[in-house]
Amino acid sequence: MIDLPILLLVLAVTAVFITSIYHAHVPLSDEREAMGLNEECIYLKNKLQNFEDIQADEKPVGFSLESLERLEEEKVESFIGYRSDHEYWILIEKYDGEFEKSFGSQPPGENEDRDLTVSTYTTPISLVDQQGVSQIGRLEVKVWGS
Amino acid sequence: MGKLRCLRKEKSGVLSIIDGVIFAVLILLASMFLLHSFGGALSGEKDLRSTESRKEMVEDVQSTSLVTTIEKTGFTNESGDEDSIVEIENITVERALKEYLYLDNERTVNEDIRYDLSRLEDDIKYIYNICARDIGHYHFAVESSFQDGRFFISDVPDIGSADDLPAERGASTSTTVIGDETVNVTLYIWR
Repeated sequence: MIDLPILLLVLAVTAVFITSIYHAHVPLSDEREAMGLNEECIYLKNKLQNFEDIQADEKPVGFSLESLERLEEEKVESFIGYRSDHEYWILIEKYDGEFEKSFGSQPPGENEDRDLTVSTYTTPISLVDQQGVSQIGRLEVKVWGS
Repeated sequence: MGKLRCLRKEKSGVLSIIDGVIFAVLILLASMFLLHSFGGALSGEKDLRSTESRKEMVEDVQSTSLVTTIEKTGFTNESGDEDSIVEIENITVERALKEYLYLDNERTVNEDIRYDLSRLEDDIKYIYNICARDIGHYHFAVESSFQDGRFFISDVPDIGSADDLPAERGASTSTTVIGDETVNVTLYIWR
């Protein structure tokens, strides 16, 4: 016959064990997912920085504002050639907010699907106008997936 | 006879409790081991991610800052009887930095020459501050030298030289030329 106190002790210890493993595993898999997404953000940023169609012709190095204004979504999409289960959104804007251009899918809002892991990478870029004046811009890349 | 049976029952009960306690201890040890392993992996992944991001960021901040145009800047020449303000328009941060180093070297080697270069320094710092602090959310310091001229800025007031910088940091060095001398401009970023 099974001793009831021993059975309860075994059940309690097993429950503690399973809970602790679950708590250790969930952040780890979330972190792995976030790391993968972070790498994808950096990949997209680097890819865009090498996109010749938006580079300023002469020094100073940076993105040409004129070319960016004319740039079509499809052209970016085919250049980036993004093959992933995740979705992306890229924003290029002038630091003073006078110019803004975005590519990709609409990013999820803060209160939307809480199961989504969203990774964001923001970096300064140089935006060059027609006079060759280089201004500070902001490049933001968001990648997300369930 | 009845007393013997009672003693045996008591003995087996005590053994069961000891078994249970040993089981509990083993399970707890196994949990601690697994938690430790997972926890270590977790912090390792986080470190790797932040190092990778910092590596990209330091290059982007440096390249963007150096090419950014400062619309209006200048310095004050306090060498003569009257101060004269020298205005400089539309120069890149790299050019402004070279001006600073050249003038700082001049005023260091020649005691008769007095320049107030604070405006030039503030304007360079303003650009780095936007790129590193406002956009990248990193603290920063920039260091460069040319002969006896020295340039050092940081957004953290307590940091006055490269010796004060935290060990955990990213760095990027760009080279430029003053006259025929190569000059290094190093940017440090950290959180």
